[in-house]
Amino acid sequence: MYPLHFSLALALLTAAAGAAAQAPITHEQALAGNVTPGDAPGYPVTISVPGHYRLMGNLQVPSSTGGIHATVGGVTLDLNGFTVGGPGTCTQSGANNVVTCTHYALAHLADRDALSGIRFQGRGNTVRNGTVRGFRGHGVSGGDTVLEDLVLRDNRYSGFSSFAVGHTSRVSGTRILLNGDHGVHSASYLIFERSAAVKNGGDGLQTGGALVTDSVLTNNRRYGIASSSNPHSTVRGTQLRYNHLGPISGGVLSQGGNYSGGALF
Amino acid sequence: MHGDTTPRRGRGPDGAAALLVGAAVVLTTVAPMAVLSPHGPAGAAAATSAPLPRWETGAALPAMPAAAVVKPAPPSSPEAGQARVWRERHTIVIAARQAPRAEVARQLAALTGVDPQRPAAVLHGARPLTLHWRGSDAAEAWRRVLGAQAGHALQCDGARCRLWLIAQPAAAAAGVDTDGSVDAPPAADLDPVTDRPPAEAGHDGTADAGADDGPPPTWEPTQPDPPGLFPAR
Repeated sequence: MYPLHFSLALALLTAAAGAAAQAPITHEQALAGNVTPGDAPGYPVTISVPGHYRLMGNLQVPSSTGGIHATVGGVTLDLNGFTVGGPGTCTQSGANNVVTCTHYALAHLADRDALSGIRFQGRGNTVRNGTVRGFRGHGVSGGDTVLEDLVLRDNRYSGFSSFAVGHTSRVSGTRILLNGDHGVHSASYLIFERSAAVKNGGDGLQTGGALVTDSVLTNNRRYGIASSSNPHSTVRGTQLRYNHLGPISGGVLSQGGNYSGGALF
Repeated sequence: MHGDTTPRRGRGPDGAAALLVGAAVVLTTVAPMAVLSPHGPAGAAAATSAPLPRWETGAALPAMPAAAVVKPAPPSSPEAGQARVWRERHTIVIAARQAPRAEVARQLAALTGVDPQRPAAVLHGARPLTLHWRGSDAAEAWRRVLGAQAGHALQCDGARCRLWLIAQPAAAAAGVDTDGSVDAPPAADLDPVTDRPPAEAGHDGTADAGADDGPPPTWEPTQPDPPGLFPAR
């Protein structure tokens, strides 16, 4: 019986090690290609296998392409404190919160996804712990996605974009600033918690409904939050100040503790 | 024992009186039930016109007066420019036809415990409202009335609400589209250095459609960055 126990334990250990393994991604590997099967040399890095991936350094991405493209769901991407960066920058100036970016505007909507810093095509993906900045498209693009502890900035369009209808995403502990368009542009319901969308060229959040808690939506070019009213967005403990067109477009349900400068609600 | 209607023999005068009382109670119970039957008024009429049972005493019970049938209110179709907001039990009903939105809001405010002055003032000059709606959700009622005409926040507890109107209808005034459902390509690429958000054609939910600066805000002017929000570049 002992050999059988030993074999079982070995098999379990092997499986656990495999599950916990995080495939590393570096700039050099990106240039070399084959990070996963089908990944061509150069950017974007294509992830075609579900699993954990971990950045081991900054990725310096040229303006003509996106950074990381996950073609499957079930991908967890740990940026490990590093940056997926393109060359663009944005600045805000003037009393009207206008944001000006160095990147060209893109002619086609699809290009905004293709030229995003991180693009998720499947469902159930997670990206955390790092910075995505300077891209011609969005910072992060994809539905049914979890974003945790990120900085999304200086991207030509939205910090985070999700046009996958019915795919709820969650943004936690994330700062989204100085993007040329909305901080978050989501066609689906959004959970936005302990995060900031500030100084963006559009709305702080433009969503098809959201639960916004303990967050800051300030200094945006348009509204702090502009959302579909069906379902109502629900807001709690959130600052909505200094947005050029006002704190809210449409209506929200308040759970209290919000402040718009003119009203505590 | 009220339901015990089995005829019996050999009762004295006291027993007959008790039976009469019991039968009366049974009938007063049955008649309203007939009115509420799923057959509606016709069923109720049939029930009241049916032959009354005769009892052992041989005396027919006095005919019950026909119960009043509550008809549903006729569909509300107010005249143009008018509105009615009322409550039917737990349901709020809004009937408005090209009505001043401020007036609809005033009536809804009275119904939901909101100070009617503020919404009426803010919505003065807003687009007229045509709406036929009924529902139990007071927040939804407010959403239907206010729409995108005024940024607002609501707290509703059952039928009573608190309403904050925290932005004037700037989007409508400025012609800024807030519908993010459709995107359109830009008319032309811009100079990479002065890439100001272009005025894109069509209904674009992006900021690019909102290049118009719009009216000056009446709430708060832009202020310096809140401290600690921005990481060092």
